[in-house]
Amino acid sequence: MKYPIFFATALCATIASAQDDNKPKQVITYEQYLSADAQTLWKSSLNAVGLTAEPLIERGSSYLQLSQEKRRFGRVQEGDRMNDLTFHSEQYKKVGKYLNAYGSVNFEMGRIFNRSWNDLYRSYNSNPYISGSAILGKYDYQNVDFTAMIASVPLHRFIYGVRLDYKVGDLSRLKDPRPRTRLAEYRLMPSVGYTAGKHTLALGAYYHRRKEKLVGITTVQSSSTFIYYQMTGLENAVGTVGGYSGYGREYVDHIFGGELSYQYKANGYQTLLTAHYARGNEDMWESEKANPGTYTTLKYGARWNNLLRTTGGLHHLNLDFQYGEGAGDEYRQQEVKTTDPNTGLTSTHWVTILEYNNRYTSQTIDANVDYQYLWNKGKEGAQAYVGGRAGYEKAKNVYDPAYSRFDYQYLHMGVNGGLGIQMKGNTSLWVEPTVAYRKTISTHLNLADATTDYAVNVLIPDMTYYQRNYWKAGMALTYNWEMRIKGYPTRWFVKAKGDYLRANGAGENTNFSIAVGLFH
Amino acid sequence: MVTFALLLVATACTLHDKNAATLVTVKVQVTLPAEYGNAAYAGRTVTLGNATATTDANGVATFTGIIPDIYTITTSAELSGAEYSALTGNVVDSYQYYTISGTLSNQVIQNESTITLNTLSTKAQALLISKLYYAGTNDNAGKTYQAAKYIEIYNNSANSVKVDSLYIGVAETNGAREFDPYVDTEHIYLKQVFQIPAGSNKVLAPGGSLLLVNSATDHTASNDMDLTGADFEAYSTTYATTTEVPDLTFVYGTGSKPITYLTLLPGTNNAWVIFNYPAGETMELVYGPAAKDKNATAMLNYRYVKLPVSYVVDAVEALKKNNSATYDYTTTKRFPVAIDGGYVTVSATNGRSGEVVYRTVARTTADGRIVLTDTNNSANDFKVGVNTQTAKTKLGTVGEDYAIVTPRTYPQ
Repeated sequence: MKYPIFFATALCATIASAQDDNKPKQVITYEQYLSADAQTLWKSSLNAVGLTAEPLIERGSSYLQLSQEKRRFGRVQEGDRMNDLTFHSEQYKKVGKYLNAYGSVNFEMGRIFNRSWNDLYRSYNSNPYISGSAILGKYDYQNVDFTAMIASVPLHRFIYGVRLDYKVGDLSRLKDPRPRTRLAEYRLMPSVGYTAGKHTLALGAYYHRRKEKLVGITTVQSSSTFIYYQMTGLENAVGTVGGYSGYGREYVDHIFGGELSYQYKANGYQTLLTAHYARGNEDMWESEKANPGTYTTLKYGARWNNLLRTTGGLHHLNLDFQYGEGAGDEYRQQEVKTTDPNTGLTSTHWVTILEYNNRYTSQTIDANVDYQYLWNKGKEGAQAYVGGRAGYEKAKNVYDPAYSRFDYQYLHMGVNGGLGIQMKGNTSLWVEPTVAYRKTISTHLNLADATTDYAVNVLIPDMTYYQRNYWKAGMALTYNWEMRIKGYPTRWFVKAKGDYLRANGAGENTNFSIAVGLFH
Repeated sequence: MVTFALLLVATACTLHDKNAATLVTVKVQVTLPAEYGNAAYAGRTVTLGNATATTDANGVATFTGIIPDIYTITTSAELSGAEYSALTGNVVDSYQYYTISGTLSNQVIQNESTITLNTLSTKAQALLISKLYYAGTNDNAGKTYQAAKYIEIYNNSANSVKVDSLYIGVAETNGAREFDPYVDTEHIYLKQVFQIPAGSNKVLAPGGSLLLVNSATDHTASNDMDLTGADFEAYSTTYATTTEVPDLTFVYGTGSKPITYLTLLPGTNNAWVIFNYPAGETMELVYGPAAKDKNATAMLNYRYVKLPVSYVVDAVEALKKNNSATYDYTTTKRFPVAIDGGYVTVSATNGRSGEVVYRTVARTTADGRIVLTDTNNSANDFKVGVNTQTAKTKLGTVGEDYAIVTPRTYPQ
């Protein structure tokens, strides 16, 4: 009960904050918002300098969205149904004479049904040292994401900026055994840019700390036969009856990264080239500082965003390439108990006696290209758009020795469009269809031992998901209108969206959402 | 300079710059006890982790393609009287069996190596502990039920054996063990001792068994066993007892108010022995190190029977299950390897699973008598079964096919 009240309060606060002493005659419309977003090339960058490097179009939106997804085609650790309630708000704003700012908050809460085999946030192509039980259960989650960016205007051609991202989360399982996972992460990125005429060069570096903690697994039933599994990579998982008792693990990841961006603007053409790099090191800690291993990550890539303004519209062409690696070192540790002869107190510590370097490795490649043409009518904003995209995705996981391997390659393609139908009374209805297709190029699963519980219950059943091609079609209808509240103009929208996915002989998924929001 | 820059870029662009583990070849040299002279342990199976190899003419088993890890290496073999005579030159009865067994626990294997596995030779005992039921179960209301615990003793020989005055004891169970069996290999330390009443004239026929319980009643309504056929019962006010079944003699227990039922507890170690003690001799009582600085009453909790291993007839060391896959159980063993070279655990860390530790069948003689496995190593000799079909159904997902084990039945 408390959460709907919270959301209603947040929405009212947003409405109130949208009004200021200046009493704008007109609030930004959905058409103008689409146009503004299309002209914000730096949206894909983490660099706060982008708030000043291109003209800042002041705008903001807030909405409350309810959605439900039903999944017959999916993976074991994803569950087969999800109900979600999300509140999202963002604002671009000039602050005084010298600063440009952006802020956003995203609060989501929901329930996942019939999920199993992982009680943590990450399941795929990431840290293999997860844990979970085989029993299907419901999971409740609550996540809050904050982002704040601020950048100066050019000061002797230098632009100074800083970005802060902060996320907290809670994932609770509602069926025995009942773990609770808490997440806290933040990223702080100062940046500096140099602008000279048509050119801007920006550099940002960040520190990202992520902490995920699973503690306090409880049961409310008296059965003592629950088996709790600890995974170490691919099919390797140790299951212990009652293994949840006293179990706890903390994951602490320190990531250092940066972005280098170059922008060129001239004669209606704007291009932004960004290279990014990040390296992380994650430790896992159990009771008495026992450490099953470490996980190191490396990610880098480049993005090239292009915008061409013509008389009638905007051309967008974006290319994106990302490469990621993960490597897990596995430890064999022994417990050493030392008793102080004077006090009789016994202390415990763990000693690593064997270390397997890179025993688990993960590799991902993501390459995408997308194009969009937006019919733009000056200050009125977008009238329609059409676009297409294509992409290539590859992932590979290896566990060696006791060599096991899993990999897949996909091609994605899709088209999307939108048409705004202007109606009386300064209202409009947008119809936005999408169609997408995924083609599997190849999949391989070669396990040293295909009889383990994790192989039989997770990896092998998941192969259906990876092997099948699928079609996905969606439609979004957005109705937006103006409403005056005590003389103040406000712009509201209602968006209903539905997706249907059909896999080749392997089931179908549906997703429906409805959102109510306003622009400010 | 360019090369350095490229190297730097290459290093920064990949994580695969550390050497991965390589597979190794391990040779295990099995050595026989002194009584076997220069004889070699040839043509026998040695187990390293999940791998097995057969020893060559020199008693060496070679394992190839081994992943560096921590392993338990075991071997066991049963020698007939004729084989024993041929190897040692000692003349023994033809029906007598001997077991050769050796265990190396938590052996770290990192490189190509030759490991020596020493073995012990033991004459097959007549009396064995054949079952330990200490896990308990949940009754049909889901509540913990601990009343139907039992110990079963079996006559593994071809001769009748008189069992009155036989002692039964359990080792101390403190969180940190009081005495290190790898240091003091000549004694074990018991916190509780019972005795088959002297003068009971109880005799076990070949293949016969003795059932010792805490409550000789029918527990089937509570999802457990019917123990009305028990031979002896430990008297206490904790469990419902009956006058139809004679009581065990309570000999000793730690504490100022000792527990008088068999302390078969699920959340702790259960290292049990059966032993004989010379008539007329008094059992030696000693204090463990934990008694230090305790008052007189508290010290009694840490006073134990010090028993020479030479008096032990049979022992089984069932240890508390630890969740960690790399847990070193040798740090919690109570018995020297001379009386039990290994250990066994149930799968549930805190019991209530209906699991029963039972000794497996080695063979059946021509006249139908069951001979149970006895290599003096609980890891080889025992398996874990369950008391009821309900428990079997619950544990079935572990991947093992649990046998249903009841008193006086002997699954393979």
